[in-house]
Amino acid sequence: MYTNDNDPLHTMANEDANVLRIDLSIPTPVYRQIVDGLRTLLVHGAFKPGDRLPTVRQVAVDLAVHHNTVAQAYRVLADEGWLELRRHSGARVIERRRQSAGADSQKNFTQRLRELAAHAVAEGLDPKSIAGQLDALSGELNR
Amino acid sequence: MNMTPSEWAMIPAALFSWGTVAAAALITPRISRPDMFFAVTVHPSFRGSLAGRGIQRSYDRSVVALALISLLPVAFARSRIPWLGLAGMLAPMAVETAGWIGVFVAARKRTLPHRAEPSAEREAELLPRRVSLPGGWLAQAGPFLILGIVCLWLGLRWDGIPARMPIHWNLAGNPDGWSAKNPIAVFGSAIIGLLICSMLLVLWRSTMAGVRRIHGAGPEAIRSARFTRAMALFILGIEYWIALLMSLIGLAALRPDPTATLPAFWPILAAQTLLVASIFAIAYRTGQGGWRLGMASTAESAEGGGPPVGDRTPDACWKLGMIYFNRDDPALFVEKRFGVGWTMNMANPKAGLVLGGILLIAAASIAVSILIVKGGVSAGSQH
Repeated sequence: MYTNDNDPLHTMANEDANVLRIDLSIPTPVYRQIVDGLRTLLVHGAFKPGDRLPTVRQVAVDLAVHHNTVAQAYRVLADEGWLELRRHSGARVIERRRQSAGADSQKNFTQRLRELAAHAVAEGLDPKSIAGQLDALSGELNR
Repeated sequence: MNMTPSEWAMIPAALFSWGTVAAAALITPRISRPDMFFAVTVHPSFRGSLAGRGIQRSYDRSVVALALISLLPVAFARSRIPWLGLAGMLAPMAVETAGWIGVFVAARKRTLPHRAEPSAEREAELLPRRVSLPGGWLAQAGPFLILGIVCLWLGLRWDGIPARMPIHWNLAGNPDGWSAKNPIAVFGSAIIGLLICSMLLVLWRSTMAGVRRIHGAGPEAIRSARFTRAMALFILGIEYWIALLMSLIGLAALRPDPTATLPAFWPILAAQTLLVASIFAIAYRTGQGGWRLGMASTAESAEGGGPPVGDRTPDACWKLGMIYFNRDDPALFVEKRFGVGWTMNMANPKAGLVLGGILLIAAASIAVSILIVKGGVSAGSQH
């Protein structure tokens, strides 16, 4: 189940480490969904440096989207330093240098997290459950 | 009734084809994915609903009635007029097939008002795809090795092949076509076998490389992998069957008495019947995409609510429920909506290449057959 990039908790419901999911019915552009989904998997260590990702063509066929959409997503992740793109051998996961977050990034994250938590509470989620899930997520990220 | 043994043998041959079509017509709608009903996306519970059962019953009745009606032309099989006799034998299958398409389209039309919007979710497994061939390359090479050994053996025993050799047998197993000994007549059947086996192998590999996987993970993906393996074994079995059949025809040139009856009709018919029965049994056991393997979990997921998953293709892109044409879909091969296996996206430019390749191999096989028959004409003029 894909939820948009304002919802980092969605990855916790994703029990399949190597599966990318998108939803064509939501307004988020498909390439964005692919970028977000793949980045989530990369952050959570589903792939190690040196691992190869499937070809643009294979992902496009499975998701039933245009090749260019997947290629664009791969390029974004390559620009972020996650992937190395090679003309004939597809995409390879590379060791990414740890980025130092600027003040803007920190502020932006805090704002989005607060909005997300407020949205979840408004939808009826128990604040304790939200806190528990954030703890679990923190544990996963620090592993 | 003064029928020759060959004419008698045509009856079980025609009944075999007739029975195959009738069985296929009755089985295929039952093995489609649970959320596909007469090539329309429906909620999985629709199949068991009053409307669903009504459509299925009506379809079954029509198929059975059609099968019985299509047997009527067999009465002409006794005709002394050769073309009418042949038509009487071929008509049941032709009438049955054409009628089946009509009955299927009618059932689809009745289902369309009940169609459900499929899920817009998509998933992709992010592991590089490898096309696995059951038994490895050795098992895959088997049919080619058999045909190659036959060619080698025929070459080594060239002097033992009579100057006038049989190239065709009637259904009673008596030779009714002859050719002068020449390389095409001797190696022709093995060459045709090699061409057909090559086509099946290439088609299988390109299908596996270009097909959409509907589920990226979970029990459905595991079932799908098991189904694909069963299909791979089935294709391999067909290749071995063709290789053996063509080898037998090729080796018939080495028989001490070329005019002797070839008692092959009944064993071949029995083997073909067994093969077709096995195909139906496997297809019924697995279901399209393997959904019948472990039905309990399928039923659970169907009851889970939500939109049906379907086959990740839009209903509107299926012409008569049989031909897939979608310019926006990069997939070259997609699951068929009834029966088991895959079909091509006819809007994909590569579909033309694949069809062209198949036609080229078919044309090459026909060309070899024509060359063999031409050899037969020259042989006929010599004798």
